[in-house]
Amino acid sequence: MALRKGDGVKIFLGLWIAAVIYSMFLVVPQYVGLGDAGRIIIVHVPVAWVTTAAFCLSAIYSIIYLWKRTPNSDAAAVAAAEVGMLYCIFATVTGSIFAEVVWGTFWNWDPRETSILVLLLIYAAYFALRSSVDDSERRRRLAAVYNIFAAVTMPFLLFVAPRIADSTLHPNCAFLQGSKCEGVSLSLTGAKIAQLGDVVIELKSLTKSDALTQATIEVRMPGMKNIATLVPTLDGAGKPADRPEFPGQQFRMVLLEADPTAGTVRVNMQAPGTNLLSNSRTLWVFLASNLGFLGLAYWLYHIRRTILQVQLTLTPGEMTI
Amino acid sequence: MTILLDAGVAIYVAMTTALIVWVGVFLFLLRIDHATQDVARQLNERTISTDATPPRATIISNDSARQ
Repeated sequence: MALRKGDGVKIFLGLWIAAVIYSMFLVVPQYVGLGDAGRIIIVHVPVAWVTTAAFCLSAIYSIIYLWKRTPNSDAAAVAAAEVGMLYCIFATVTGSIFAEVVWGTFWNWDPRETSILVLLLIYAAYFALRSSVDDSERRRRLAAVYNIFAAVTMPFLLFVAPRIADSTLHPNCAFLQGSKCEGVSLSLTGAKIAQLGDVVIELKSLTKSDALTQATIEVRMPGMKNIATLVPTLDGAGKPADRPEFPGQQFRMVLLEADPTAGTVRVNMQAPGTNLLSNSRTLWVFLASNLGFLGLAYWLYHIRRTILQVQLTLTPGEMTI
Repeated sequence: MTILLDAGVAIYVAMTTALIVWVGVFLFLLRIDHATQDVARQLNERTISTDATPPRATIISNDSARQ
């Protein structure tokens, strides 16, 4: 295969992603609690972020189409949505593999897993809509309007919905400075029972010795399987000390605050991977991965857009996708 | 085959597999990219040749011919 003018950038991109793959396995250190499975985050999170960018680009071209009615804008919207869909599937698959290794199941209806599934279905409906309308002008117009609505739901599904939940297995605090993982509050005199993720927890007792505050909490996993008593603690400085593991899972319970006189505590789930990016090597490889996958997405988008435009030129109005 | 799953070797096996898959995907994309560029270029050339200056005819009315 002979190289051409302009291939330099593509070969650079190829080498860049190859370097990211190499670094992901051999440069990034193992993270305690995740083992080698933690390395998949270097691919999983950037791919999920680029999904957002691709769907936004698609919506922008849909707006341009509705404004100027140029079929090329519609082709660009389709190309971007297809790349977004591909990346969204890739993010879901890599996430499921990670979940199987770290949390013990491919799918556990975590808020973020559920919201990305809904997003996939919304964009699958976009393509279904396109293929169900024969008249090309009508198809483009309907699809453009639908695409804009789909893009409006995306920030809610990806950024808001998972954070509304009391807790999620996804470590929200790992990547966004200032993001909140507040956990849930329990009280010996008031609300003793609460839901943390899909686990029911009940505060049984709260004791304080000189250097340690101990909360005794009963946890019931979904379906009332694995009822266990966990005893997370705070040290004398008010920082989490013992972080016991939930039964049969690899995530932990952390005691964030405790007030023995009032009998109240605030507890949370801590997924392995929280503060993952505090390691500088991990951070740089993660940033490089973001750039690499963004470049790859743009390349895919460019190829697909060119194909759709060629199709449009050859058979105007017959672009079926 | 079990030697490939040993703790010290598995990570190199995983990396090599990922790199081979990526090289395959990259070469596939490069081929598609080249083919797409070729088709787009040929189509543009064909469009330009069919859009060449159309033949012109000047209609001269009898009155203006007499003048």
